Amino acid sequence: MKFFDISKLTPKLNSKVSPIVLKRRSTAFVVGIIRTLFIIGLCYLFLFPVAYMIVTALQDPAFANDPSSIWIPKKLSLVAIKGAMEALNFWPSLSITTRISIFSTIASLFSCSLAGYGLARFKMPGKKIVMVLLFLTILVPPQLLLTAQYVNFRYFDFGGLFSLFGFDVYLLDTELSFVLPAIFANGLRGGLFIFIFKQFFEGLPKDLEEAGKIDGCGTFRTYFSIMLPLAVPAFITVLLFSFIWHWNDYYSAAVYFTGDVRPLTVMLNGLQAALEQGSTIAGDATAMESRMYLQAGALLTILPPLVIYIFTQKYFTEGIERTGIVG
Amino acid sequence: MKLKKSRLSLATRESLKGHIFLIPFYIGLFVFFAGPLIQSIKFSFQSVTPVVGGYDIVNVGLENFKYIFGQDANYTINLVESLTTLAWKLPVVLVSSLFFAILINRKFKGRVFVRAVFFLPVIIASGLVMDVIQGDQIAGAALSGSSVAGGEISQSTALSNMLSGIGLNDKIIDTVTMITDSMFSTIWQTGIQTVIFLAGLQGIPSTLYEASAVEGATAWENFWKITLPMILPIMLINIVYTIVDSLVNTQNAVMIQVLNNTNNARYGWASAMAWAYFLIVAAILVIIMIVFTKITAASTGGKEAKK
Repeated sequence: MKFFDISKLTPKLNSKVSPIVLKRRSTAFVVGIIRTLFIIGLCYLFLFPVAYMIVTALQDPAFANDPSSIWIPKKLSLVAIKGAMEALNFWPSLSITTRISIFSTIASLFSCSLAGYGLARFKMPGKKIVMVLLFLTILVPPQLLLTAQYVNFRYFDFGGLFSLFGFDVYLLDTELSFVLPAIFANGLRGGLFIFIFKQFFEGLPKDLEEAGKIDGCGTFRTYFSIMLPLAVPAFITVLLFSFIWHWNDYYSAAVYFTGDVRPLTVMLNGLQAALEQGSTIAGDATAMESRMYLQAGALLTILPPLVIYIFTQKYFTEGIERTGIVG
Repeated sequence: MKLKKSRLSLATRESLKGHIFLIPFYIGLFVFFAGPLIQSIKFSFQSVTPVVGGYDIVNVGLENFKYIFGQDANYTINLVESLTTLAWKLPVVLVSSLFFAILINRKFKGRVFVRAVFFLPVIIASGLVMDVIQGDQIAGAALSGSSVAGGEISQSTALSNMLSGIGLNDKIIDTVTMITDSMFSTIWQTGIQTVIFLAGLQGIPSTLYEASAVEGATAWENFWKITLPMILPIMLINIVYTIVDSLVNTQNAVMIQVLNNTNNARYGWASAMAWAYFLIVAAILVIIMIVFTKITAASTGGKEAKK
């Protein structure tokens, strides 16, 4: 009897797909289409400016005003690139930006990983105070410190230490104004890097260190020969972020560099400001042409990090997820 | 050696080792953080004039603050502009980055490529290059009347015409069109937030979704009852990040003014401007944090009650 009741309740038992499943499947199908459309649209939104930048920069200026030559340039040329290189004072600027990014990143990796490990693994009275100070360094914007930092670096004294020995150090206009704070774990977003390392080290099992200890391995040797090789994902994440952020930094660079040779971002801003005031870069170039130079300049500025990103994006996306940046 | 070691207790030795690891950080904290911070507080109460080989410093009390709020024509306007921008940008950035993160959290064909594209703003996040890209499209449309970028401008004109047709007042129309106009650059500022949300989404245990699937919950219910409560703490991180990031934004009107004053050697005004702005933002941040911890506490409390 019971068996028949059930078959009455579900009359289409013999058909392969029940209506509920069918409804679910069709909903999922529609949602899938909408999702795909969204993804395609957003990809367009993110790729369009980059593609536009590349195409504009590589176009021959003669076709700058030709509306039919927007997506597929009728004639490729390096005129805009060359003009932008000149306006940006490219090679010296590139050199200083590269030096800032590389040296600061190396220094940050070393000092921030040490601090992160110290905070992650050792019981210390007053650790809470250190953590509060660490968060303060993350929260306080660099602008608040920059004015004083600028004055500080102009006649750099290292807390009164140098004047004791009669030094006079001029740190502005050199990469040292970035590298020196980075050596002491207080460089650009240094607090955040310490935090990333701390989270990562806390996630590693303690067994390995204990094994090392039993085998007579000292604290620092344990750190360098056991913990460092394990922390490679965290190192890669911090390396990439530090490099990109130093490369893209404009505000600190604009304060520290006022001489002839300035980082690319500062030069690009100067180029843009010059264009906004209506002057053109290359003598008798039209407004349209000088916009091409600006696009070429922007392309030159972001090209190195872009190339690095293309080759390392796997580490980028996976590293962030694995290092537990979120805590 | 053995004698020395035995003099210190195990706990003291442990903490000493920890502090040794932190020595570089401590030095940096004093020289490059606390030092300049105190200095800049002092500067905001001083008049600093550069002279050969040093600075001529005079204490002026609250004069700098009186000047920037009373006499400086632009500061108050810039301040209000920065704060209103922050007020509407924060929710837009949060909602869109959460949306993007959910969008790419699933497995689908070409996920690696899409993820790489979505993180592109992290690389080109420098506001400067964004200025160039965006400025170019508006200028390009105005110059050549090309259809590529022209859509953006005509769209917001159409929108404002439509809104005024409904009979809204000008202020609301201005705000709405301002938001739609800067939508492009806002979406380009979501890179890091998307990354953080994505990491948070992958941290949610899949067992929760499996359980809800057994119970027959829809995706909509899943979002409100599992995803959102689980992601609330990460939302707070993103709020803090977005606010801190807005301070460093090259388009931030107040900070541009501070930069100009620093480069023109008016350190007193620059410090006072930066401090007044930061204190206001910090106050907002503290309020948001308090409210948020209460919401999070309430949502986890609710979950425990259900158990």
